[in-house]
Amino acid sequence: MNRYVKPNILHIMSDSDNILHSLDETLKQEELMFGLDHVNDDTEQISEVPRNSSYVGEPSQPYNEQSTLVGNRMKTVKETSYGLEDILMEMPSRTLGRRRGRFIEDVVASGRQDYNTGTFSRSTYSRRFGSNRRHRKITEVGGGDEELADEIFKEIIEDNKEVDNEEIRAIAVNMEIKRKIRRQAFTNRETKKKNKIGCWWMFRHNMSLKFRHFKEDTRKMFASAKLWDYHLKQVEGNFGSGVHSYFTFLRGLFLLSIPSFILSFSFISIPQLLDPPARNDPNVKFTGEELITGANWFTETIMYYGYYTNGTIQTIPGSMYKMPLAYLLATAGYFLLCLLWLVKSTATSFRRNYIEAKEDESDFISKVFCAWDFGITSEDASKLQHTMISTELKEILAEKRRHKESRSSSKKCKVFLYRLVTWMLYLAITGGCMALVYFVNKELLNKIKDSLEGIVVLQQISLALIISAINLVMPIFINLMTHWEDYKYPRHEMYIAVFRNFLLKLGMLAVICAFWTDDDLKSTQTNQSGSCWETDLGQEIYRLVIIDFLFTIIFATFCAEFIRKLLTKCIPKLKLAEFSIVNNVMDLIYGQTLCWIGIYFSPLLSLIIILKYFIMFYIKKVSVMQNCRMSTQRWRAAQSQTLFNAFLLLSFLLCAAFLCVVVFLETPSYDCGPYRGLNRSYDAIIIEFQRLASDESSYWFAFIMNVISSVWFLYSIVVILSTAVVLVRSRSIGYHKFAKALREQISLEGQDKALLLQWLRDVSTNHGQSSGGQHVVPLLKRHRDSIHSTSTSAPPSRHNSMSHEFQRESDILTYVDPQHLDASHLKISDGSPGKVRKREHKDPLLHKALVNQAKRPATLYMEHNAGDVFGSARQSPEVQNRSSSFSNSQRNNSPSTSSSNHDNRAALAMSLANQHPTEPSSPVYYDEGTF
Amino acid sequence: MGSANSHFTKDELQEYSELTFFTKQEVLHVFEKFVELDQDNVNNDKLCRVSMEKVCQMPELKVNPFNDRICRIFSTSQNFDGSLSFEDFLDMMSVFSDQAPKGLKVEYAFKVYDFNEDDLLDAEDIEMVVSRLTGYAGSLKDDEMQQLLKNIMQEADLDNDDQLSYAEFEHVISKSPDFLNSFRIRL
Repeated sequence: MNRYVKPNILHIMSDSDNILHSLDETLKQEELMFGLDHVNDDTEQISEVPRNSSYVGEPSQPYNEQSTLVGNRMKTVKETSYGLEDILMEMPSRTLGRRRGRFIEDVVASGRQDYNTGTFSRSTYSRRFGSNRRHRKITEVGGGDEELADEIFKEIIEDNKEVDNEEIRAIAVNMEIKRKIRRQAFTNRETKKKNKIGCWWMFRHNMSLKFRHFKEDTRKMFASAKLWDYHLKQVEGNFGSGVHSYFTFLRGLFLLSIPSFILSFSFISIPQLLDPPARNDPNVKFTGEELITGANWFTETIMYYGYYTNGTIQTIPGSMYKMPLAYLLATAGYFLLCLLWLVKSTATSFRRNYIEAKEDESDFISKVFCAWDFGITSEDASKLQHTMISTELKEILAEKRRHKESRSSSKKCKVFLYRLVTWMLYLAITGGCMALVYFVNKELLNKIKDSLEGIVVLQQISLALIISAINLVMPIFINLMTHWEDYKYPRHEMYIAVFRNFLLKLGMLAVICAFWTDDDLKSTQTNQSGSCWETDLGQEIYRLVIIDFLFTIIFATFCAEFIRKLLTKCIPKLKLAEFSIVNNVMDLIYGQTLCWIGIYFSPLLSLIIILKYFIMFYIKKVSVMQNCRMSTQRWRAAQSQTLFNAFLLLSFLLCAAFLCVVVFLETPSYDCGPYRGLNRSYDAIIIEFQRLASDESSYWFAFIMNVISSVWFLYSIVVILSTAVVLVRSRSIGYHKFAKALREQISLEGQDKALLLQWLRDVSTNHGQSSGGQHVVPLLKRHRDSIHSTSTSAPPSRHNSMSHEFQRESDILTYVDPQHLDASHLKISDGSPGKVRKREHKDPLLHKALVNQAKRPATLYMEHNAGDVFGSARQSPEVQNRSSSFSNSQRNNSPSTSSSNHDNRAALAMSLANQHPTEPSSPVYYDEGTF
Repeated sequence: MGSANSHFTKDELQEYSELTFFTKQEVLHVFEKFVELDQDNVNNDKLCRVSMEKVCQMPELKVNPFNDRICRIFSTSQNFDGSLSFEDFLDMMSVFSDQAPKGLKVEYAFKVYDFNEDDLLDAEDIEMVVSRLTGYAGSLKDDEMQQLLKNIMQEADLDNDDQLSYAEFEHVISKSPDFLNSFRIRL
């Protein structure tokens, strides 16, 4: 933001000096030229350009535009009277300098005469480091590198004392220059060392250098050592960043589940393994079907909640390990870890993709300039991408056109009705699914109760089968339904579809959770010995995870992708399956949700999840590479990633809420698990606190806990947080306003620039025809127009009164605002007596106008000028000071030159304005150096 | 790796890794890639230039519609033929790497899209970009192109001069979250 706002009104002032100065130069040169080689001009340009142009005719290039480009280029070179383009570049410093490499104009110019000294630095580095470099003249060819390196180095040194690699790396220059800068930095350091040889300083310096190297190396190591990087590249090369984002999402979840597994395994499972309690039923053998059902033999292993003891583990002599406490705290730690990771990733992507991008919807820009995926390597993918971009551009253009003609009211009504119906339908379906799950659950439980001995595997997994089947089929249906709803943007359609899928899946999970934590159920169960609702819920979740995984692999991957591929060979009309990113990502989110719900009831579930992700990655990758084709719809990876992160966070919060209910409110099973016999699981912690508080030796701990858990502490935290929120919020509002003001300023400057350019054109085109008279009219007319168009704040009555002031037309014609005439229009003499260089203004009419102006008291005019953008900055020193203090905060322009420049301007303006009527315009001494 | 290792001294490698976003290992990897482009010449002389045609044969650049532009802006050749020395090549890969900051990437993207190299993206440049993007899929019709140009200017051209300066380009592009995803080539 900051960089492009640097230009401001004062800048324009200084720029206009330059412009008019260069214009003067140009005119002088033209004068010379017109006499000598006017005829040769064009031919020279033509002959010069191809020889030196950097992009003339590449025979190997498939693009025919090349040749026409050169033609166009030359046309523009011819069109703009040369030098004008240079001036244009030097207009308000949005274009801070130009690059090396663009040298056509230079060559053309130097072909005519030695105009080279008049060009400014072409290197982009000046963009990075502000505008003051613009005025340095660097010779382009030859020893340019050295000087350029010098300049950049000095620039960095000025900014901050130390030149480090980080900085050098991020400069957009070639290696040679970077190396030179680095060498300079090195010698600089060496001389510093020589200057102050101190043991301590040397030591510190060396250490900091080493530390920096170390930091850099580790950072690079981490950045380069990424899991599955090769596969990701392969996928991206063939399918673009959309599918790639699915795999990075998968990888992220995988990486998240590893530390969480280590946490829960080392604090919950390992201690329990050290002191395994005896099994209730030692006859149960491992048969293999447990892998799917998760029941029987598994029931009494560290897999489930029910197995964990409520006592202390004292296997290692002298140590006391309280299982209930460890169980709860480890789970809490796991959730905290996930929360941190999720909030961080969501917040980062949200900030990057929404808040920063929100200000203006840059649709077309990103569709043109960010359209091509540079990572793509395969021929097919590139062909597809060409087609995709083409159709997409056409589509959004058509959409834009359609957008103007909004839908008719009858159609609106129809669409509304349609959506109402589909929403009803959707809600009915979701309700139906949830009810189905509930009844199946209940029915199954009864059956299991009835026939205690022969529980069939199918019965056990039937619920999981039903849910997975619904999850497999319903998304297709929902997507279709949403498609019919006729949304304006495909993006909205996707959002709605994703939201509906998400709701459906979570709804069914909620039914299961509610079912198992139901009080009626628990009260019936407590009568039976050996039953444990936590373990049952854990088993159910386990089955869901496994069955969901199998379904994904068998149906979604194998049938829908592999079989389809085989079928395409028989049926030529059938195309390969598209890899549906939305559905796949939603599956991942669903799987992760299951894991979060289940982790409390089955601590080892995270291990299963890790294995699942690992296998999934390879299966999906192979399937994508072999059986899929690229999606025909462009995928906005960044935005969708945020959306998915948000969904993940939402489902996480829901899971956490559910677990909080379980821990704080629900009664745990009567005779299993670490909390048997307690009213709530949370009581385990309270008991521990009470014990600590009663203990003399740990009084301080109890005291701290008391303070933390007191109302006042919480209250103060809430107050502090809300104050912080209010502060941040008001600051952001302030920034928004500031940004808006700056934006307006930029557009005003654009107008200024256009106006100045117009003047320039008028002056330069009229210069040739020295018939006099008429060319002042456009200038002055422009000027008046500008006053009328830009002074929006001034009331219109003032304009009227102003027009009354000028009664005769000749007055208007010859009345020139002194501020708009620059030193180049005046008689200028160089300040130094050594090389007196006088420049009389060539235009007699302008000269006359100026003299005329000097004779009139100009104060009246100045008043009317209030509100004029040009005038406001120049009217009086006070205003100027005000605006310069405003602008100084935004730019690092060397203050001495610019301010003296402006002071000169102000002095000039004031002296012109206050001149005595009879006094002829005195020669103004103008400092050449400020140009 | 051994053969590549012998090409550079330790100091050279250190320097390369300091001046780019790569580790030493990755610099060597880039060099291997560079060797692949033109086996015979590079093996003889590691500082030699590889012609633009050969660089464009690299799989990452082969399908890229802007491959010639990329070569040109990274080339330091005095003949302006777009040929790349190893250092240029390393520069290029460094800019396209994941670790390169956004500002640097934007700057080079601007150079890539600035076909007539006048430091402004004008209608001509944008038309060129679009026609290359659509490729053989058929360019836009004239009126469509005009509309597109109008919309782009509306979006990005803050001072209404019908061309995008670098500052304007940077402003809009840095707000487009897709940019970082698209403007990268992995090693």
